[in-house]
Amino acid sequence: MQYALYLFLLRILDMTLFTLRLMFLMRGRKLMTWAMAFGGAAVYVIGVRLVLTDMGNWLKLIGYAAGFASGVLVGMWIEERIAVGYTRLQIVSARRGALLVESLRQEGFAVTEISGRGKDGVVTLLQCSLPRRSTERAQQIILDADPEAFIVAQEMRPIQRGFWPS
Amino acid sequence: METLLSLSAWLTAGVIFALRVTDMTLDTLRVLVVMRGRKGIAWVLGFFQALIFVIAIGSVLKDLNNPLNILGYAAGFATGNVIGMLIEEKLAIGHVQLSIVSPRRGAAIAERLRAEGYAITEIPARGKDGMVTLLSCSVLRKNVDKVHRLVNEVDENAFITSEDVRPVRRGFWRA
Repeated sequence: MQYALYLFLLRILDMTLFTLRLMFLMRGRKLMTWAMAFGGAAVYVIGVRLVLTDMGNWLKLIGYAAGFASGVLVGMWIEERIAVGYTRLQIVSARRGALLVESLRQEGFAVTEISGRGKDGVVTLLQCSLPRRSTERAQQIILDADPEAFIVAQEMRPIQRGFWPS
Repeated sequence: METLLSLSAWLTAGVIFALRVTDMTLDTLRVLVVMRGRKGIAWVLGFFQALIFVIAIGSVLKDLNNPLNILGYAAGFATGNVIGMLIEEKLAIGHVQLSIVSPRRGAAIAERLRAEGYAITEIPARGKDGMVTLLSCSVLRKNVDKVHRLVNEVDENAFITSEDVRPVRRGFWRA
């Protein structure tokens, strides 16, 4: 019973670190990847392996699997809080494009307007690049200005800086 | 404590480190290749990674009570990740789409890039201070630095972003 709990907690810890490692890896952040991988591997060899012997006990099996799965979730949750990187929002607004642009610019976001055409006539297509951390704030502003706006987010890498909201 | 000083203890730790570096390098490359949907390469990398793991690491890993071995294991694991990332950047497999926003020199940038053989789509757009040009340009990842340099020669203040794309239907890609 006690060992099942240890196994659960240790697995949460190492899978959290491994999940964060993957997220840093995908974004090309080498130093953070190294640190997360080192921590995760150390916890794995020191902790998990010691408890991993004798898996005949079904409680330990459940602890292992539940810890593994929970660690992935915890890692994702943390990663969303840190929100490394940049996103581009693409916003399509049928009627309230001008208002949208104005309120986004007022809040310090850089917006590029492109005119497009939808089923029922001319629409405004907006492109807005921002740090991932500000995504929710931008989304709030957009939905306040036009509750019917269509928003997609896409991850991207800045090559040369233009204007980023601080 | 005397185990820490013996040559063979250091040797074992070194072997663990080296093996872990090798298999994690392959594993990291595999993950990055999978993200770009390259099935063939992913299979080959996965095969050799698993092979190294089963044959080599499994046998060495039995003796992990020695702190030196644990250190070698963790450091090798972490270092393999970084080496995999470095190799992947050098290989630069795949395609990216560059978006270039230039307030004044859009046409000049497009002309310069086209002269070098890149395919550019110009879109007129509006920024805070009036009209801007939005250039969309899909290139091989290998060529990103070169395009960046060319754009910079024409307009130092252009805003450039890149995103990974997969070609669905090939239009014009500069060879």
